[in-house]
Amino acid sequence: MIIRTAVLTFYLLSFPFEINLHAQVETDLMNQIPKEINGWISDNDDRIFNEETLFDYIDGGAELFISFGFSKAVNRTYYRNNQPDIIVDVFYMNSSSNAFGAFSHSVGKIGNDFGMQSQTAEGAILFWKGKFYISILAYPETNESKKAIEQIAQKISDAIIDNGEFPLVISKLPKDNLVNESIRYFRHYVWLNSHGFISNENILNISQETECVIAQYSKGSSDANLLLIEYKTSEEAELAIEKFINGYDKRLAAKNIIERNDNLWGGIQKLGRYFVGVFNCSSEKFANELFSLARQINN
Amino acid sequence: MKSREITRREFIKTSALTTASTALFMNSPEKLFAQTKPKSRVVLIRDENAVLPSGKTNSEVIHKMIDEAVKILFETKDPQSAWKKIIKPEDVVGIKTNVWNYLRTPLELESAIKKRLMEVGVKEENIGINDRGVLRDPIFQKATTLINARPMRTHHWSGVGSLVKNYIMFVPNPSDYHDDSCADLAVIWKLPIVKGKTRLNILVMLTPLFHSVGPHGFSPEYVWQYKGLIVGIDPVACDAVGLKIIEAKRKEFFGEDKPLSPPAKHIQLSDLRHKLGNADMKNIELIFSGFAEGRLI
Repeated sequence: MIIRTAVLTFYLLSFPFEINLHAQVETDLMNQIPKEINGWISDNDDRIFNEETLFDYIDGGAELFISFGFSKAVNRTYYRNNQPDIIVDVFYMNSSSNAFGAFSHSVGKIGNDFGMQSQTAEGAILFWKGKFYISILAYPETNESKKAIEQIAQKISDAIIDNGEFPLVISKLPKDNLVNESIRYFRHYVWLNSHGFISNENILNISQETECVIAQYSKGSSDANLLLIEYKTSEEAELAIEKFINGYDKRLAAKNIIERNDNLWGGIQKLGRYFVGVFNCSSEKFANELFSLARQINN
Repeated sequence: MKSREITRREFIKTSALTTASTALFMNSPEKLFAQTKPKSRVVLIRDENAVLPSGKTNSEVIHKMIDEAVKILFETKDPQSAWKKIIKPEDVVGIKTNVWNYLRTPLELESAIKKRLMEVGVKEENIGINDRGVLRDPIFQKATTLINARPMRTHHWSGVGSLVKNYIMFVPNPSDYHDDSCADLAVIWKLPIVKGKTRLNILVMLTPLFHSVGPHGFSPEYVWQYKGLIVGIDPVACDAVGLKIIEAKRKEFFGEDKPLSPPAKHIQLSDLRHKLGNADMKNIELIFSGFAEGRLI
């Protein structure tokens, strides 16, 4: 009884701090980014965009962020004579999963210079940390602008206290032969074709309620794409599989793995509330291996 | 795809259909553009000097490229005759450009087009060049003729920014056409403000963007100097050719097939669903001009 009271008391005391700390980070993040850095100055108000207005800023690129869910995007631009403008965009995603998702679909080579993951390219730094997706651009790049954006990136990364987490569904991917850089997390069917064509339609009932991940696997001369979808219930998974078989290839009703017209192999499995699909696989043997590894999902 | 190399004065003779279709075009352009079969004729022209070492566009070379492209496309001896096949002096012409900050339609190309229009006899006050303001632009509101010109680039939602997509500014709410990764952009081409008016499409492939990163989509790391223009009457066919080049570049750069995500399905659907033009390379007569190194297709 005493222990239970102590635990409850501890929880009640810490929980409001947890909320306040996070709210403080969200409120203060832009305030923690300096308005002057290495001669660049931002003396205009930050611009704030939501789902309706983000199109005005980045045109169709807004759909990427809308498909993952965000509450607002804040832009701050820095100016310095005879130097490129530095454009800082901070996206307040609805979760760290969403921040990771948006990052994974809009990136080239992944590094870890900043935040949880980052990409540094000519004139650009992109990274995600916690619920935030950060973009810092300065083009055409100069030696001075390169240093400045690195400093800004570090300050922003340091200001975000909560690292965030990768989506849980990613931990379900078989680890053997996984090409880590190829992992794509999503909750909109448009991203189904990230590593090769599967369908133009929402053939698997993907929605904001489903957790999806697709990744490449490679072992020697064997390659494949593995798609993993977590539904809320086993029944939803069953319905999705039925729809998929009817829309993709009816042969899958009778066989788990089939050879397609392009001499590549593909197959599906239902594991409780998970859909597991193997696509563009170079051999039946490798497809079987991947399915065998995937069965550990329910362990 | 059927393609041929041509020398300077070696034109591919199609049938008498070309002559007949030209006449048909001038009298009833809607009927001609409604035809998706026979083959769509597309010119891919490249010049090694189109882009200067500084990265800037070489104005003189751009003028020559567009001149040569229209001559080939319309099988004429000089560019003026080519333009006369599609433009009348009394036309009101809107040049639909693209002002995306990182990779806009070159001003040099806009001026080259305008120059030839005026040589045909179009009054300068009847020529407009616009992108995001087309709906408010009196020239575009009363235009009898459109010229569509934009660079190809990858795009986070539609797969690529294309000639078909370039007309999205002719609708008041472009995001209304974003559904299903912009599958049905071709519908815009049937709106009265644009239907049947497009006489020429120019897909700028001077420095295309072949991979998008970040919210703005642009990184110089994923731009290369292709130094080309793709020119044709059929926007879908031009886009299909451009898409092939982008896909080939991605494969070359990444060392593997790296499909666009989302895929640029609006190009294929512009053909299969909306009959706007030919997306199948088998139905495109592709004519190359200029240097071949690095052509990728």
